[in-house]
Amino acid sequence: MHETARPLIRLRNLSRIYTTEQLETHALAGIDLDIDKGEYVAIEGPSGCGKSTLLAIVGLLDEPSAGEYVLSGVPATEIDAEEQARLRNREIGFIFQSFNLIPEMSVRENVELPLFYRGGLTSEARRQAVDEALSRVGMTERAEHRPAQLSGGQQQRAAIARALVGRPSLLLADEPTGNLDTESGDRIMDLLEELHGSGATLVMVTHNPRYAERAGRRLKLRDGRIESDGVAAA
Amino acid sequence: MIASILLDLRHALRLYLKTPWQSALAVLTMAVAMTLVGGMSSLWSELHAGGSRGVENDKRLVTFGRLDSEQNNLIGAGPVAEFNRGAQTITQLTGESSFGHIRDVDLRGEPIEGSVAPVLPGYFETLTPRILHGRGLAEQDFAGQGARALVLGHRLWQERFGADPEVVGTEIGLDDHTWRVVGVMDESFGGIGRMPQLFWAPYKRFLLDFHEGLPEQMHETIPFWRLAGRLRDEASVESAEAELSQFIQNMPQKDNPMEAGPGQIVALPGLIGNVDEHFAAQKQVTLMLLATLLIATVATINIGTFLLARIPARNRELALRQTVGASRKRLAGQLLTEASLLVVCGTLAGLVLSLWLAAAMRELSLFERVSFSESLLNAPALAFSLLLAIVLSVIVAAIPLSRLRRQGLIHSARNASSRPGLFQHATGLVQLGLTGLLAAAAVGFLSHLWILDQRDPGLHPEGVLVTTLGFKTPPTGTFQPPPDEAKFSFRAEARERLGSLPGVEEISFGSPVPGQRAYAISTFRIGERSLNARVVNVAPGFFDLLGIEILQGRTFESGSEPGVVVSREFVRQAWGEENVIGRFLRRDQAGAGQADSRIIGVVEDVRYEHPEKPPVPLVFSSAMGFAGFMNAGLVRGDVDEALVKREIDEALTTHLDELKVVSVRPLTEIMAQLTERDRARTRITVLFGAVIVLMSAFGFFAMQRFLVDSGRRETAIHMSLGAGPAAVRRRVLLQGLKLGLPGLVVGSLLGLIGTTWLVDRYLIDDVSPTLVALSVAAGLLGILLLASAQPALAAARLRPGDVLKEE
Repeated sequence: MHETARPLIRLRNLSRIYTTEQLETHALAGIDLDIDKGEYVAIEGPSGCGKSTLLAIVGLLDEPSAGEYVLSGVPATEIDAEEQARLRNREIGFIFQSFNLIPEMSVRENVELPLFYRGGLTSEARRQAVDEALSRVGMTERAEHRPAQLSGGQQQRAAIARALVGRPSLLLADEPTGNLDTESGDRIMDLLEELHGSGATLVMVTHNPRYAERAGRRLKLRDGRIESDGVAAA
Repeated sequence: MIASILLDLRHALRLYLKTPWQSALAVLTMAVAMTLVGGMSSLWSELHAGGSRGVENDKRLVTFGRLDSEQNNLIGAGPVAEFNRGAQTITQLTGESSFGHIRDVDLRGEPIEGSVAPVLPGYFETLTPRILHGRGLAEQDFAGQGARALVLGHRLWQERFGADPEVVGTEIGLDDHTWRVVGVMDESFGGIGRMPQLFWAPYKRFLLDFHEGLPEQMHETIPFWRLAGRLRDEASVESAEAELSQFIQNMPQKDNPMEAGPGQIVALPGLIGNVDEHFAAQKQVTLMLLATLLIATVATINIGTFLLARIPARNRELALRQTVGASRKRLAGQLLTEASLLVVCGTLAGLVLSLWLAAAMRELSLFERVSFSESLLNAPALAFSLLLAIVLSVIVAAIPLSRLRRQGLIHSARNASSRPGLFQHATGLVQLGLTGLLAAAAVGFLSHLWILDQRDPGLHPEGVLVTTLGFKTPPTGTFQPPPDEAKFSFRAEARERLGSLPGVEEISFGSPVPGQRAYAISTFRIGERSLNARVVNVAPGFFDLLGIEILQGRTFESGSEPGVVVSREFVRQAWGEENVIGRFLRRDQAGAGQADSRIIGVVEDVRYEHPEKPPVPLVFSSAMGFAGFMNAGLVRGDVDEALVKREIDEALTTHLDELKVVSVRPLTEIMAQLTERDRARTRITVLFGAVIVLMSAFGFFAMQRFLVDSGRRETAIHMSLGAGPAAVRRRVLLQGLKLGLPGLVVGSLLGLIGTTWLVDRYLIDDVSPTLVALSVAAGLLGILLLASAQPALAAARLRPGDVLKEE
């Protein structure tokens, strides 16, 4: 019996409205989007167009005001906060522009955090997984360093190791090279492509057209709507 | 300078009005602390000021008294004169009597009633009271039997002599005698006892004229005097205390017939109305003042934390100020102004409230026999409170300032650490440590009271009503008690009337009952020794009604039976544990010969004293005598108090018309008076404990909120990595436990040490410091968890997407 192919991410008529006392801001308005497993999607658009909001909702860090979101067949808008956390932990890996490493922890401890929250793993199993993740991003030598002792590029590598240590099905990157110089940014992009090459689904928000071109699919957002959705030019 | 302070004040006001509830809470916290500090420092300074109001020269005055003594009995007038002949430490020992009450004395055709001060020689020369007109009593007024010379009290002079200064030198009639007015006392002087006195008179002449029935030899031996003196230049209060103690110890017993036991003789600086009460009150208030200072410390930390919590949100503003040229000194001044505004508002409110507190505290039974002045907030207390407020302002301002310095002003809020730093650890430690100490005191006093209440009183007071009788009009000095027949017929009719009331099970009579202050002590001869015992006048049925166990022999079968019943303690002290039924007791009745009574029964000890004290020897008599007709009526059963009063009043009208029912109260309520001071002390300590617990809980809560708020980013990162709400809540609770654990340990240890100290001085030995410390530890743990609960819930409700986007 064949399983019906279903997208990893399915968004229908998704909207997000921020309300203040005086103002109602439509950050996202009627987004329809499917992303399949293994895709490499770049999201582009001017500041304030809703890129980061879309990524936060996809990553279950924010909730839509209306619409439907299904992640790996699970209706993400209908599950409680604990279940969302579990999905985030197992299915999603985040990479932020400002790295978001915890300054009081070593690189190893930062990378180990998702496994710690997953539970049920022995310390040996966690150690092996962390070593493997650090090795993949070339940060084994820096495992005991604190984030403040690393360069921006190294910090982002550590953040990528943390994102992939739990073997998530989806990697979400929000301007991963935004705080890096060109050389470091290129290296990070190489690393992300390598990860995608090994089977990861990658959704990346970027301002940089050079990096967007490297994605398999380019989404352009304007005023909270998808302006264009197409295959990137080779 | 002023313009810049005004600018800072306006900014501070705007800042606080942005969060009105939190600001109001901070002011309230300071107000509560300053209310307690103001009220307690006022009481403290007054109790330690010496209380020498209304004297010309208050230097080196000293008052003597006996601790743990209901009556302030020291020595009589004769021994005082003997002491003065060899006194090394004081110039002259003098005093006023504490039994100078007169009733229905005719003055210009109208009766006067009130307190009179019969005084010893040297009273006016030594104490130098302010005389408004004329002079005080001089040496010649005490010669022989004493002159009929008096110094009018200010109130009597105003009310009965129209404040006429010409009254000095005139003669006035008091009953059948003519007295010469030699002076008028100033309004400010109320005697050593600090009570309004009708007049001051030579003691011997007063006793002869107004206590005709008192044998003359007792004039020199009655020991009920408030004694005071003036220290010689080289002498100290302690040396005077030692000299008088030694003198009393070496005194032959004949001169001291009412020696009341082992109470320590003490001397206190100034003129003190009741030394025992004053001494106890000084100790109490000192402890309370210390407790309020601890509370003020916690309040300061709370307000500092409150200001600190605003720093992450204000970093940008302060950095901007710095970039446009504000120096660190200038910013420090701004923070000091902001802190001062809170502290000053709280202090002003607190000082106003402290007037109320000081007044309320004076009404407590703990201080009922302590004389206070009329002013509520005195100058030293005010100065102390204001000085403390200044210190607190500086400390409160220093807390956020230190944080700014450590962190650097140009850092943005996103770099604020969510981990507790040295400040949080230190304040958590101090808050919980002090809370543990005061909470342990509260738990210790509660345990103390509970244990006292559990002690067997030797009777069953539940369901017993006590009817107290009194005169309809005060008797005169020539009053004769009614004949025995009238008393017996009253009792018979009262029994009949009460017996017909629904719900009455048993009826008897007897006085005093445990808890009543008035009692008689008699001295009994046991071989060559003498033994003091309380004498209780009872009617048949007294022991059965109260459930007092009979150990040997029997109790009374009829009124005015010649035998006596004694308590177990009496037997133990008199002869040891042997059968004493049939022995005869010889009572020493000073000046009135001796009488023998046969012991017909021995009963279990009954608690007439504070339950912490050992039982006192008791002798129960059914002889009516003078006091017998005033015995309280005892009724056991479920019966209406108003009905009991009505029936006894009816029986009194028929047989003893000069008497009336003064009160009908449950015996349990009367017996509670034995521990009334313990209750008052417990109430205060529990109040202080509750205040500091609330403050600590609030402070800890504020600190946790601060950590959660400043750690939003870190929490959001954890959530983005898969931490669910439960994990976030757990993380905040664990953070609270880690932060509070050292304080919990220190608080419990301080609680253990504090309770051990209290057990040595104030609490019953049965209070276990270990159990108190453990309960405090459990309580502190509860505070930590409760204070962390809301911040934990708030952290778990965080929307990580919003927070990370803000960054």
